Amino acid sequence: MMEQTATAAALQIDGLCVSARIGDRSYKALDSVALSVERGEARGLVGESGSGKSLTLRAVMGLLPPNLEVTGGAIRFRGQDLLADGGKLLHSIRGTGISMVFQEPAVALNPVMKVGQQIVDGVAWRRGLGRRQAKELAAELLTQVGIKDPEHWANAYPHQLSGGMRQRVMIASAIASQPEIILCDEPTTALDVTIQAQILKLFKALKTDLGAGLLYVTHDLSVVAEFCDSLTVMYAGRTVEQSDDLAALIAAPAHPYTRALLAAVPRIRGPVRRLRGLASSAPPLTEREQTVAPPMVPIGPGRQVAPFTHEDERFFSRDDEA
Amino acid sequence: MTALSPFESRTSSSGVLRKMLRNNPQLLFGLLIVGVILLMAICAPLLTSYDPTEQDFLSTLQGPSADHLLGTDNLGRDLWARLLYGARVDLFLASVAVVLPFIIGSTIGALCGYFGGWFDTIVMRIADIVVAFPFYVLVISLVFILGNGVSSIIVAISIISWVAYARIIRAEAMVLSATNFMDALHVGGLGVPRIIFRHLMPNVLSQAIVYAMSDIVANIGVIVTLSYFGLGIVPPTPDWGNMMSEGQPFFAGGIYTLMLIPAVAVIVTSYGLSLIGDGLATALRVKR
Repeated sequence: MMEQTATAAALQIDGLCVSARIGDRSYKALDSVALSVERGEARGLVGESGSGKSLTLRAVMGLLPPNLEVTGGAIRFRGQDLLADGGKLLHSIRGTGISMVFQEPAVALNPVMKVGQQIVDGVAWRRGLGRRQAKELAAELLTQVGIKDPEHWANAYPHQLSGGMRQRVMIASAIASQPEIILCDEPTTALDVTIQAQILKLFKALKTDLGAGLLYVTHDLSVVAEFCDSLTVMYAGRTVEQSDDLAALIAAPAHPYTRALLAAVPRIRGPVRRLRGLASSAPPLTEREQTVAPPMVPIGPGRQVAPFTHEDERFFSRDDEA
Repeated sequence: MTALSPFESRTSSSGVLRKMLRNNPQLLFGLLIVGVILLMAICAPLLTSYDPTEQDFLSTLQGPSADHLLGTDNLGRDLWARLLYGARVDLFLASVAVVLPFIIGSTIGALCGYFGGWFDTIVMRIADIVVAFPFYVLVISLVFILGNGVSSIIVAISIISWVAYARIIRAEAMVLSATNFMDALHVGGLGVPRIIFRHLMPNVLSQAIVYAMSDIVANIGVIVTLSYFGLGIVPPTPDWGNMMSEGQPFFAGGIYTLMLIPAVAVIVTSYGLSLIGDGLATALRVKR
């Protein structure tokens, strides 16, 4: 369990609401999302497709598509609200305070710029580094993400790298200016399991070396189990359960959706049984309730869960083939 | 992780060029044609001893001979010399007239594609207005207003042909702006000018470069046409357009060379440039 400090969390999302305008109506895509990430913490953010995990990350980074807007709540970085001053603060902490690793490095890198150049492009520009210094920094960063012979690979273009190496390059550019928070949007989903294991190991090392906090979005609960300290579960644009201690949540999930999600994980040990799917996926945006989500209530130290009804319980525990 | 390292040979630019030419006869042939013409234009003083504007009334309208390779025109000027010096004027002007619209159009297009919104709408409506006029009608009236000569030709062409570059670059920039690549740059905290000029532009310029080749061809057409109508290059400066218009009266009289030789020069040059354009398009497509 991680230590609690009196100071504000590095990243704190409080009652974040994001609405989508479709036609002339507005629908809640995120409803009262609440979570926080400390330095040195790896927080998993799980939920099925469309639950709003990636959208949460995008909202933090100010990367919402034009038809989506933040309609409420606060995103605090070191206690300062990023949404308060019309984006100026947000712009100044992008890349320096918070950075992001994307799912598909193949499309997130500049195809016509040498990788060594592009991972330090932002830093070199901000700090006014010369060519030599920039090169040295690039080589240093590439070494840090486990690329051997960094001087050689710094001169390669993204298309000359393998998928795993591209993701390492992406990570190198994310850590270039030592951010306090790294948002990871399914960074290993596009990679095969061997490379995935390597990248996870790298993230672990970076977490300790840099003391950065990671917010790690994934579908894959095995990744969470292997790598995260804490977990937040999302369903249909809401945070339904969160725990600062991963083990406690896995051992005794409180919300019926979390239970269903955990029950859907295939197990090798134990009695043979039919694989369980989720009872049903989250309803589409336009069919969701437009009421305000009740805030999560604490049920233990560092542990909150959204209120739910017996109906919810029946809905989530229903067998998918019933 | 060192398995993938055959890229040293690919990063050397001469290697890339050689490879590009080997699989691309269009490009090779085009470069050859235009190269020869360019060389001839540059070395004009070495290839002829005549002054292209020097008149010799004792030897007018002569056929090809040892003295005058292609014969002389009605004022006794050497046709070969006029052809060479005319190439200088036309090729230089056509290439220069591509630069300004290329720069202006690409920048405007990148800004439109990146920002979108009202800026994009206004600029693109202006572009629509420009292309709503028939090209030659607009060029001729602009040159007529600006007065003939080199600078007004460049201005007239620039006012019109930035549109094509802006549209090409805008479309590409819009596609690129919607990708994670742009998000990654924003996340990196880069400023907008740096994103546009350092990251976006290099990714979308290839299409505009290909178009520029065919635009030079179009420019040669424009310049020659304008000069033919007496609106372009002012005589006695040699140019293929005014050579044709000066030779035209003798066409009916059976002296075909005065008009046909500069016409063939225009056609061959345009053909060569078109081949380069197509060849480049192929080469850059493969690279993607």
